[in-house]
Amino acid sequence: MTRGLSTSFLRVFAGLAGSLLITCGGPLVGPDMTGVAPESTSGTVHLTAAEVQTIIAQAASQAQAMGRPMTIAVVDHEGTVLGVFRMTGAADNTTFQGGGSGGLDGSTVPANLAAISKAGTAAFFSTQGNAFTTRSASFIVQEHFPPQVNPSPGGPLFGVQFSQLRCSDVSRTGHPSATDNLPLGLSADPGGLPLYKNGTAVGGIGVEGDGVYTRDPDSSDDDQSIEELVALAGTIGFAAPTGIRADQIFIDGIRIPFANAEPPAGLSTIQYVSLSGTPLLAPIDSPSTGFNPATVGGVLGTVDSGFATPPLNAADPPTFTSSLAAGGLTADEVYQTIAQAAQQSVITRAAIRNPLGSRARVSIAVVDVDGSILGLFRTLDAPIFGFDVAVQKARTANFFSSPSAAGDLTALGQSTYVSAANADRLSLNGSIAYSDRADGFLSQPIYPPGAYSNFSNGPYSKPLGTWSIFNTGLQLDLAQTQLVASLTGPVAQCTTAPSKINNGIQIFPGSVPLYKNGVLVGAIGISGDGVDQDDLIAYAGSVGFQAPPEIRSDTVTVRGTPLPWQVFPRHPNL
Amino acid sequence: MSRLALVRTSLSAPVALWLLTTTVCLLVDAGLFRATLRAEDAVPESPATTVEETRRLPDGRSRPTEAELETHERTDFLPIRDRWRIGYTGRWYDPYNQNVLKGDYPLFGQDVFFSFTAVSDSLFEARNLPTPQGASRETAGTSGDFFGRGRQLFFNQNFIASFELFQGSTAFRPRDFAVRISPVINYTYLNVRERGIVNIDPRKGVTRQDNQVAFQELFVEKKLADVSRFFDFVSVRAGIQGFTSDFRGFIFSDNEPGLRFFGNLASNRYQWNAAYFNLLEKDTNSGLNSFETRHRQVIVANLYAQDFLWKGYTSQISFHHDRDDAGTGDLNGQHYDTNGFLVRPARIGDVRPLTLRSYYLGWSGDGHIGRLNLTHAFYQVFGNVSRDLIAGKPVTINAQMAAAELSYDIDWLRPKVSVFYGSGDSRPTDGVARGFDSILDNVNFAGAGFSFFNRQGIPLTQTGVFLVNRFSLLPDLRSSKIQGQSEFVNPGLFLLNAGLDADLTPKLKALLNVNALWFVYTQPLQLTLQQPNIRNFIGTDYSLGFLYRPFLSQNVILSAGLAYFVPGNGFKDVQVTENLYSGFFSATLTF
Repeated sequence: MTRGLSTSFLRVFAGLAGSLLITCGGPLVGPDMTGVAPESTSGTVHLTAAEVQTIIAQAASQAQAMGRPMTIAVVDHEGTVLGVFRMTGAADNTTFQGGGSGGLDGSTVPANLAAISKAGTAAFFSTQGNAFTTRSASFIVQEHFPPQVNPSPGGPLFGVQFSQLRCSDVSRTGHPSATDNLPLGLSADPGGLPLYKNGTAVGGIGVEGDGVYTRDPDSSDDDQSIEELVALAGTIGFAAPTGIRADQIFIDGIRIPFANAEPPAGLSTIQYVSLSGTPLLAPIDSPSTGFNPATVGGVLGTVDSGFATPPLNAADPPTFTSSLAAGGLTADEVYQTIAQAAQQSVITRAAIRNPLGSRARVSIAVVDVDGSILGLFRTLDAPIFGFDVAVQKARTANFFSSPSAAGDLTALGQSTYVSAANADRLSLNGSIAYSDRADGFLSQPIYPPGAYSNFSNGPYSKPLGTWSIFNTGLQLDLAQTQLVASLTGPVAQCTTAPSKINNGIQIFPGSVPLYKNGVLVGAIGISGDGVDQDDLIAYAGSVGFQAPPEIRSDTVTVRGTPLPWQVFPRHPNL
Repeated sequence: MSRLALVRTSLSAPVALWLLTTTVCLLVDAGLFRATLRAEDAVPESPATTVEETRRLPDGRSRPTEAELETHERTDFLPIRDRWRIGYTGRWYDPYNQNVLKGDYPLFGQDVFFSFTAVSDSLFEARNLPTPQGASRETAGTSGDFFGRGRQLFFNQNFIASFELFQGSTAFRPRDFAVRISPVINYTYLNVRERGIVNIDPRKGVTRQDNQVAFQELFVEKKLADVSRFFDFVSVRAGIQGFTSDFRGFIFSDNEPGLRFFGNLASNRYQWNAAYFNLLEKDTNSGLNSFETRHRQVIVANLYAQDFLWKGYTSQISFHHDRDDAGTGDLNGQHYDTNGFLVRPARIGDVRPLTLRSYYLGWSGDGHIGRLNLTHAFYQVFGNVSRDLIAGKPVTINAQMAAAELSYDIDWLRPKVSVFYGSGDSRPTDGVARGFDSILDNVNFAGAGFSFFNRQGIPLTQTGVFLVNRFSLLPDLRSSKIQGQSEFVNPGLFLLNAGLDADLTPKLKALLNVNALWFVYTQPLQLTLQQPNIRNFIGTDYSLGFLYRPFLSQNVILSAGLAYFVPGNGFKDVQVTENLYSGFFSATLTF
């Protein structure tokens, strides 16, 4: 008691002193610590073939020790597959198991494609400020967030699994989508972990071999995944810095899972050359980056020569594209829009980056009214997944806001969704400007999000029971045919015919349509940080080209629930 | 006494709205009955209670018998069967005079009494709280800004009845037995300006109405033994009963089912309680008891010493033990409140079911030393949590609370100063939880229900927890004070208060308070909000309250309060920057 008392009084004074010290200061803006290390695949930091061998050998040794042969893939930060190894006895195939039926759910694919997708997911999500795994991805893509809490709205990155597809036309230069994007899109199946060298995100390892390609429906049960244990072994020596792992990052107060185990201690590694199995792809060095440095609006970042003409000097702006449509966005206007967004990003507190106070890093896409890419800019160290997703988001907003939306959907064989929208008295004739937050809202299997009784699916979704992350509704139905075709050979786009949405639609927030004089001229899409941050940055980019307030989606009520337009972060600039 | 204990329970609701404590609670909080109610609640029922309830003369409903009249005809004397049957002044509907319904004379025999109390308690409240707009917005065309309109209107009505049958005797003898049942009918109404507040389902709009029937008291009491010649006793009370474990409700104050042994020693110099409670789930919107178990057990033992060192000063030592097994008891380890919001585990951090064991050692005191009025408390908490939500791992608990209030009576004025400290956690992810939290506090301190920070449940917007719960002082990041679990990884609180109680007239009392509040450590907030450099100063809380008793009795009590909160830098960092307010009016009518 006495000791407790004295401790207590000490604490009183410590608390007081702390209060006074801190309250005397002015508002502080956190130093932006991330993005200062070299970007991966920059030529200075990347994975070598020998390192890929080590990573695969470590994982295979663990799998062998556990008596569970696996297929192991390593990809680099930008998605180039650096090595795939199938251990003797590993399952050839894996089956989608999302808890629903239809779509991809229940279908079987080669296990190596799953391994690549898992490795790529960890690589694409991870940066110098955050290290995410496929388990982290699982946590943020399901119909509830967190997945085990019902009622609750869907995950913040609901639908992101259908991005980075090989059918996408958004591939980095030198990284052809036909081989280097992720065959199954982003993965929510535990067993994909990021790889780091000296704080730089250099890639990911993915392991498949338990026969099911699934998601974790309950993050609270500490279930152990053999695939994850094997992948963890692979990361020894290349593990993510602890301070930036997902479990050090809170989204809306909720901790994001990283892995349910630690790498094994005392692993006895078999040499790569002595491994029993088949190298489906012999390890190679990570190639040089497909990105070129450029500065937009004073913000340093990168562009890809496929979507913008890089400058000769990193400090100079790239050249973006003018719309071919009459009255469309000019290259200068595209630049202005992207610059506004980039400038907002560097003052916006990141949602998913450590150290605390890091600024958001995002990809910024501006698309034309026909869906073609007018500008695409990625700020330094923005996660790679956002490159494809920013375009998806922009195209989605443009697509649904278009006067020809209903006809375009019908032409793509999706008239049932037009009917569903009509049944909800939703106009798909250009009279409503839809943000992707609204499109995503309408794509939830539980509509409205948060409902727990007397609900049905959103008009662009499937009903619960049928719905799964592998059967999301309109999003997958638009892309399924080409997605499946892309597993066996190159395809040109994700929709069955060239369209305004060639890399598929995306159904989580971060884009708004753009207007000139009340006429739709395209859209801006942002991806890479928290969705509220993406919304805010999209808003900043859209200034000067904003949708007239009277036609925005928040003027529409569907089944007693107003549709959203945008939601910004709480105190974004602190 | 019974009805006061009954309605003192704090009522609460989820998300922005916690039920109010009833007006009587406010009165109690405001200190009106400080010396009596709180202390009496905590200490054994003293024989004085019986005296209070029986001292009045009978109303004469029982007429002399024929035999008595016969005797009267034969003598000059009128023999009355007992001492209760002298005189006759009352009516059944008149609580001010002799009334059998008020236990003024026996219902049966010579010493079996009945007491009935009815209370209507109404509260109107207007307030402005930090409120997110959410995705689905009530008003089209607003900006994308996170915060929306925070104005709320709240109405709460309780109809309370209390029936008690007891056997008692003289002024100093404790009651031999008692049976009491107190049902409550509640109605609540809440109107807010944004969706997703009254219910997680945005279709439910911005208005909520709810009602509930609850039992806030349902117990039997029996005296077990006399332990001295001076009516010192040991009694036991079993069932739903009100209990406040210390002078100011810092740790545990609630109406819960339990078994409580209590008694006194040394001619009432010492009083003690040894209680076990098996807590009930609470109804979200009324804050009243539901009919389901909470899977939480609380053990309390305390000892009061009157006139300890100084005459007029009572000291108390206590032990509390909280066994919260919600993590294993709740279906699937989860519990959602009436409005669809997850309350256990709290929607923060890992959102994983947890069990908790905590042990509080306390020393507190209340009374006066000379002319200086003093209240103080100190608690040390130990224990462990199976897996703390914010730490993300099992933690041990090591937290402290200290509070003191000094006041001095100058004629009709009572100026006072107080200080409160609840430890905070500067290392939220280590294995030791250092933030202080209560079991189920209902605190009467530093302006209590009149102050903004104490009265209002302020959500930690963007998360599923409250920064501070309604009728609590602790910024303890709980999902709900009444339905959630204690969270010992929290920023802690340092509070300085200056106040003035003024008896303006015998009927009208005014209470003025100014509080300044700081977080002790903001690291738990920084971690959970993914936001650096959150500052410590919470803000300044100005409040003014009035209590009006037009008939100089407790039968009609009107109260009103106005609180104005000027956010400090720390509050502005995580919440809104605008000034906030709350105003209320309540009427408590008692028969």
